Amino acid sequence: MKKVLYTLIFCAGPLFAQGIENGEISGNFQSNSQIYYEDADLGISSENLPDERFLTNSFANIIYATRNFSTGLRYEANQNSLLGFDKRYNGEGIAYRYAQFNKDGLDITVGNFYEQFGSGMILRAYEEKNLGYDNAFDGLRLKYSPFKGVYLKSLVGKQRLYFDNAEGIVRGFDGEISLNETFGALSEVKTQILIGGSVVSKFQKDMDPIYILPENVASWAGRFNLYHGKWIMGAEYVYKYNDPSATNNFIYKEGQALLANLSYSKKGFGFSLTGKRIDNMSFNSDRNLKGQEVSINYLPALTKQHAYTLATIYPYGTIANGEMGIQTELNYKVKKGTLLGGEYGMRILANFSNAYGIHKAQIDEDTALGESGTLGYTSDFFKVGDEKYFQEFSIELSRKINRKLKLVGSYINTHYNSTVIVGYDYHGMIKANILVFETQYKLKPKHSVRTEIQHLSTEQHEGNWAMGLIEYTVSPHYFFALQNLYNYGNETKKMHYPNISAGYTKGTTRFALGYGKQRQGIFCVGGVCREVPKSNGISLSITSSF
Amino acid sequence: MRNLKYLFAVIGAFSMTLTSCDVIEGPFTEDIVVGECLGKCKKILLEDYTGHMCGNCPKAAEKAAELKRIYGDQLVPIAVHAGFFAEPSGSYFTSDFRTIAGEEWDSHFGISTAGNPNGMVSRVGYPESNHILQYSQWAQKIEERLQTKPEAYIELDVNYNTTTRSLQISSKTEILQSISAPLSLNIVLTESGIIAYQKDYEADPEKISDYKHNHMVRKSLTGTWGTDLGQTNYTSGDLINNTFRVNLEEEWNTKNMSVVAFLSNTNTYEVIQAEEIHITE
Repeated sequence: MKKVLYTLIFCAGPLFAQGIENGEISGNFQSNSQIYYEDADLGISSENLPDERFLTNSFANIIYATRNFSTGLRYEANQNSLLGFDKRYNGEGIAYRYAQFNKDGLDITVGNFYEQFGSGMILRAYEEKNLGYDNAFDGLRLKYSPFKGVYLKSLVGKQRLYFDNAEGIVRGFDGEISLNETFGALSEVKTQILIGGSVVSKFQKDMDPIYILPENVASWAGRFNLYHGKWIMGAEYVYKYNDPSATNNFIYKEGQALLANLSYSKKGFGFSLTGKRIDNMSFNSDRNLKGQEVSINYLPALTKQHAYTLATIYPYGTIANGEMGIQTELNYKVKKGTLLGGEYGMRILANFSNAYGIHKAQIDEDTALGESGTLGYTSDFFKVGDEKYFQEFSIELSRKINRKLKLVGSYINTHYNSTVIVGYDYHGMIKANILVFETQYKLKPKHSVRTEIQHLSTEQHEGNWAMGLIEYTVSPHYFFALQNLYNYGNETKKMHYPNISAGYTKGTTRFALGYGKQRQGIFCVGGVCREVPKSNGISLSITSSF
Repeated sequence: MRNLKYLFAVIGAFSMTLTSCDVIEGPFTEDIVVGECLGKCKKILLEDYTGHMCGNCPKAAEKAAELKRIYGDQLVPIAVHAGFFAEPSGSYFTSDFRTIAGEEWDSHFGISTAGNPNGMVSRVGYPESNHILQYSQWAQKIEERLQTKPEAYIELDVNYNTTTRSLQISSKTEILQSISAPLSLNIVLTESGIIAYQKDYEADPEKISDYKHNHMVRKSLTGTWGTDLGQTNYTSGDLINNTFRVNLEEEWNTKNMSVVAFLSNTNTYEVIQAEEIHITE
């Protein structure tokens, strides 16, 4: 890998010598560390502490860029990975390196890159460091615009799997045309139209002793986006040819996905409606790997992303083997000067989303539903399955009372089919009601205090939770926070999870120090479950960029 | 013209992608040929890391059984109960099937922290990150391993005294290809047919009271990392004989027990050969 990097830097240099003189170096750094302690209350003894006692996840990106050329690398040092992260990330090295240059309009990237075609349902490589997710490509990508408004991309590469690459080779092509840009006659038309299409194929050798497997699996997608004044409408359809895999239990059925959305927005009012149908659309670089480590595509969950702690206890993840759902969101600002709006107006944000299984029927009397080595099942495209996977309604009201005080109140009602979504224990459909009340108060210039009171009530799983938070900020440099989660409804053991943290920011560098307890979690992806142990310890986080 | 050249190149890439698709019309399955070990053949160690509280683990055990049927003597499966899901829990899952060696393997190779079920095929891929394999990956890795020639062969002989429950194991390790590394011989006892609770998310109820646990590692006779065979360089034809003695515990059903031996490269932990023999016929 180092050899490749040196080659990239030193061989590419002379080619673009003119540009390099005016180049800029930029980068960023992040380090999260924790020291772990014994805790009798949590049942953590010296035996089940991590052997290292101190764990750290760190990385730095360094990028050198000129007008037509850039090269960069990311060095990662996980010595060893924090609890909750896969131990296969233990180690250090250059996990990402690339060179990109633009010549005569042809944009070439060699090495690692992230990419997305359309909505990502056919291809998306991205990273989410805090979740320990990175499926970057390692290969070659070309981008070209032969005519105004026409954008072409093609790529070939393998995907990152921890500190290695997955076995499969992915080839992809994407084309997009903006009709209004390309055709002069349409340039003045109010309606803007974008049309796109992609083809993605993967190769993996068939070494299986049981199944006759397709070594090349292709998929294609078509999409459009239409912008008309305050309206936006779009849809994408993806089709995947037979792709027997560990995730779909080695069935030979085709895969399909449809995502459609409509939205409207104007000052003080907006709504959006999105619908999706996903059928057998797990698409992996390695057919034998369950889970999402090397997903070629990304299937959106279509649920609201919550920031409040108790609202993140039951997060939904798309069921790639089949689901149908909708999400609708409405935001409205009650005018100021009215009874509800008061002096500054009130913002209302309402959201509803759900997901159900898809209809599945046996292919014939003798074949069980989803039986390996068969076509699996048949499915009526428009028929919703019987089983509910997820449903959530949430409403958030936020109102500025005066120049110093702002209040935010939220209510969330969640139905979470834990058997289907995480499959970690038999709690069935978990029904939870969550209430959050937040205050933001400016004490004096630069000094503000924020409080959160949260409550989650449920009769299933771990029962009720309560949470309180107080955060004091002296902007732009300091913050100090105190919080406690209390799982008082837990029938096994009622438990407090207090945390105290403080931070200091100078320019683009931020330090945060914390001490507290973390709750235990069992996380399952694709039928592989791992325990993220409860912990007690001091954490230090440093981020910086230049 | 230059524009057109690039355009054609991109269209070329596009058509290559389009044509890269194999559609299987059926049949979808191979004619399964049961592996037959002729002479001194390669034998693969399959480690299934599991736990009685792991509701997805029965699927892995089924896969191990399926592969055993396919590969016969060339596959030596062992079930290592270790990690969080193997801990005694509640009023049902009271058994403790963990062993010292199993726990240390689990911790060293990072298996249960990566999740259960997971396993290893001859511990290949360590210390790179690809030694941990989901059960759906086992078959391919076994196929790959079987493409390589055996570097060593192990012969086992057992002598069991039913009265004293003492067991003597004799092993003869024959080097078939030169090996420039220290080697460790590991001897473990396994037991099948153990009836105990097991969680299974696909069963109703999930708690199965009479689940049959197979190939369970009961004890390692050679510590966690085996017995060093004494050299750092071995040449073809080298023969190393070892003898091991152990008294079997009363609760173990000797009729269902086997001795599993595996030879590993001490530096890389890779298992280069395995062998299994039943304690009683």
